[in-house]
Amino acid sequence: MEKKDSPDILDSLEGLQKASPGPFFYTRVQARLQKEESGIWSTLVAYITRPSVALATLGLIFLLNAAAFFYERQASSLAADPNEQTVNEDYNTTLAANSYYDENNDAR
Amino acid sequence: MDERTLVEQLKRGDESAFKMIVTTWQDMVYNTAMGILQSAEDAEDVAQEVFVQVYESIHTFKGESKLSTWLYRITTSKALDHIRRKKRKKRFAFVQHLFGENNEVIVQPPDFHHPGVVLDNKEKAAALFKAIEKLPDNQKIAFVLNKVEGLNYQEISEVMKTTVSSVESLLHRAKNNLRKWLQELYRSHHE
Repeated sequence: MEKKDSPDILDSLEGLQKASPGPFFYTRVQARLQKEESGIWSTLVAYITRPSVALATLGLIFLLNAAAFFYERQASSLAADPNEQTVNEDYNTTLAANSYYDENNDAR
Repeated sequence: MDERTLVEQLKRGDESAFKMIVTTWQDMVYNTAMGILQSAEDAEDVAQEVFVQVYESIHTFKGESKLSTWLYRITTSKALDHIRRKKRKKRFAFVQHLFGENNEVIVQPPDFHHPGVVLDNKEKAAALFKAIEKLPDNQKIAFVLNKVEGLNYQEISEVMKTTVSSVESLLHRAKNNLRKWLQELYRSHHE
């Protein structure tokens, strides 16, 4: 290879004949199409049943359950909060409700 | 049968229209893939992928460009994806090799010889293909479409969705890069 060959090399594809795939190319394309169509479900099943995916899903379910459990527990402890009773007493809401019935009773 | 009728028939699920499309354009798709990938096996794989994609997404073809232009676009993008996938695999194999998990010897592929090259130009063409491999994606596509597929600047600009002047500039830069690398290759051969 000589230095002056460089532009010559760039023209070395002149007169290039087009390459063709081997015979029965269409049959191979059809086979590929069928494989791809049947492959969608098997790929999905294979993906879901992969240990990493299965374990990650189980972990997520566990975390959601734990979060729901703690949220419920927190909510129930808030409901039983003694401060709430003090607030009720301070504003006399229970008394007001009772006095409504009392007033009715008095009216009778 | 004209292109529009073929496309309409394929949209209705006509198998014979699909067969006609494959047989009419298989050489064009395969040859383009071969120019970019420089491997008969990979070109076959990508050419099959292209026609599977055509079958599955023909409804997205609006007929604004020629069917061959659309096929060139699918082929070039699939071929570039294939190269990226291969590079990722190669890097992964190299890392595995470093950590001793993969004892397979990493071998460099032999020089690529396009089957359509004139016999006298065989060696020069092999050196040129080696240099083409190093070109940036856009320059590589423009050069292959021009030199391997024989498309003119206007046709390349339609495939690449760009202007004719951009194609001229891409080809100019591609040729400059190739000249530079080929001269370096010449020097390394003679040192």
